[in-house]
Amino acid sequence: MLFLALSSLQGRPMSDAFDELAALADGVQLTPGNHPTENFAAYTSRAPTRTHHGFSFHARAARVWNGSKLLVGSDSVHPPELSSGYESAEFFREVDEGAQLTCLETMYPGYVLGGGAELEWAMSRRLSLAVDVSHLYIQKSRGVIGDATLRRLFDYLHVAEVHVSANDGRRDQHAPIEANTFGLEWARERERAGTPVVLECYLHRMSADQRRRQVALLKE
Amino acid sequence: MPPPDDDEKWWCEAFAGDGTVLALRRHTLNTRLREEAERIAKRWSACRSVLLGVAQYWDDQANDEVHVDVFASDRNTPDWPHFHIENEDEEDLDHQLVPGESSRDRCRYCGRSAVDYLSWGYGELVPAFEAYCHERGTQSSSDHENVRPYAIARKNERGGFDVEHVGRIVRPWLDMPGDHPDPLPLDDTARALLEKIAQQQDVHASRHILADHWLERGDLRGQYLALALHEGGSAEVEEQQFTLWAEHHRAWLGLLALFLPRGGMDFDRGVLTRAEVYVAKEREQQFRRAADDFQALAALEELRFLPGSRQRIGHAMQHIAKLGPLADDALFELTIAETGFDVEELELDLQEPSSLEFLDEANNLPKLRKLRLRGEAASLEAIGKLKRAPALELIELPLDRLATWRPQRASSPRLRFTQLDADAQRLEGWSVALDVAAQTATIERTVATADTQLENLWSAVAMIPASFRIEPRPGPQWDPRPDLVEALIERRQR
Repeated sequence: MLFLALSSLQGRPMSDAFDELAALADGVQLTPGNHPTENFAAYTSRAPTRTHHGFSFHARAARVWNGSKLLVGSDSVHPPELSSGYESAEFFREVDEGAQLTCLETMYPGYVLGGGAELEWAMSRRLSLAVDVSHLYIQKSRGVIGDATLRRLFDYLHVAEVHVSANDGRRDQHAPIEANTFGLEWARERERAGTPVVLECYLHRMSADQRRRQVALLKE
Repeated sequence: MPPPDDDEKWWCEAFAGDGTVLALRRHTLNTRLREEAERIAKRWSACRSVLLGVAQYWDDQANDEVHVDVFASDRNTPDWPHFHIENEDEEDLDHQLVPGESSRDRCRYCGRSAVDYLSWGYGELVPAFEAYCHERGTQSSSDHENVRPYAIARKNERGGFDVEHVGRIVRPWLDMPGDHPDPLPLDDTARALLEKIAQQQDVHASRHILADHWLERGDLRGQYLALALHEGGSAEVEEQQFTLWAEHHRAWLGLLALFLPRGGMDFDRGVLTRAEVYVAKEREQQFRRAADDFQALAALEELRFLPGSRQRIGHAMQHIAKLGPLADDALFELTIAETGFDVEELELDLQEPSSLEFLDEANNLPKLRKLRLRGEAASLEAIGKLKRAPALELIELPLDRLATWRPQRASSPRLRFTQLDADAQRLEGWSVALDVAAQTATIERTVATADTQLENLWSAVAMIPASFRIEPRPGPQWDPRPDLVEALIERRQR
């Protein structure tokens, strides 16, 4: 199934964004960043949905982590952001001690799971992963992931979601995808095999035809 | 599975409270922009104006941000959009203009010695300014694609800077209030006085009487009104007035409070006289009741429906002089109402040309004299069929309709063709006003809220008959470069 992220129309009222996106794909991934509208929870029964990160029906975003403690029950989340007071080692320790988790997204430097070594750790623990191919492209561009790890990741059994967008290798731009976007072919294979795939590029400036073309690239 | 309700926090939440937003905007207009303009003027003595622009786009980690930048000019108003001076290898701050050379504007790229990158924060600015930004901004786009003007600081006679707020709300759902106190009632005396104000009767005396009326009852509205009427107020009085207003004004707005964005109201000498409303589709029925509520609408002179808003007409709107934009259904509702309306200037966004006929069939709009028209029905052909047209003083149409204009007899109404600011859904920017009798086409501009690229003007001006004289009219929001005016005349003469 192909989902469109609600944040593809970030900033719009939730119900307005939902209507536009649900018409384009199989479902909508509910993500933070849109303006809450009344009775939106009931509204979402119109199409299949998944929840991501700090999505809330009542606010622009919900807080996701308190240190290594997960505060939300979303289907997938970004792992914690690193800072001077928080390092990956702490997260690994908490997980090994039994911390409650959900599906974790592959990230880029600055976050837990932001490089190849940490992804190897996650796979060795058989953690459920949301593989974001655009984030992997940033990792590859910055030289923090090797080909062997990428191959292992693409063969990994516990991939619960795939996220797709494009970028310049330096910034998480959520740009529109093209035929040669990194990871696109693999994402299509996963979608055909039944893994939920989420397209999360910003659609604000695109015409209806251009949006349909984006979806079509993932359904080819 | 939905997330739990506890500990919900948007990362900009700390700056999203109504009071914080209002204070930040006030601080920006009253202090920050002024200080920045003074800083620029110290480094560039010719600087006479500084435009503050806002843009929303995401950072490298896809976090939400609002970006602010300034653009300085040696004229009374900076050009907008700003284009860099090309091939500027060296910058001479003391460069004296030679005859024939145009003046120049500067930004953080082409005027680095005078104009800085502003470090006012990014995420902190989101709640206060995102509603004034369109949604299409990206890191890869240029200023004229990303930025919308928010304010202009102009040098005054004392050597300081006066600031004008020019920003327009383009995404009102992002500026709706979080605070909803119970509305304070409006007794018959207060309502009668407010209606007098709305009808421009004894406006000064009515305000003073109203202030006394509320003060006698210990109503804070009286204190606020008295402060607002205090002439020659000190900074301390202004601060007191603002604090009182920021803390309490929501309770003074009746049922309209739910539909007024934080930046969507103007109080004139203590009284709400102008309102911009946003009615979400799920609140349309609630707005029906608000439209009949005199609590807030009693003194209203202007009511505007913001982009994306549903529209409804209520009899409490009867004294409003400027109303719109109305779509086809709302116009029908207005014209069949039993109430008479004092509307003088009506803005319409009609999809069906035949909807204009509602105006001819209406007998409850006796004071209507100006019509601002856009949408599919905004055509000279449709106006030609409007029986009411000759009685109107002015009809305004989108600028691109000028291409279909042909000289008519020198009779009213006067026509003005104005750009459409698609984001703010307003007719603003370049305008061409035609006077058939005088055979003149007057060109004016509002600064800053529309994409005022010159090509839009060139193509419009080319359509004016050769017999018409082009008269550029500089004004408060357009201080054209001499070379631009010359080019305009020259191009027209080709």
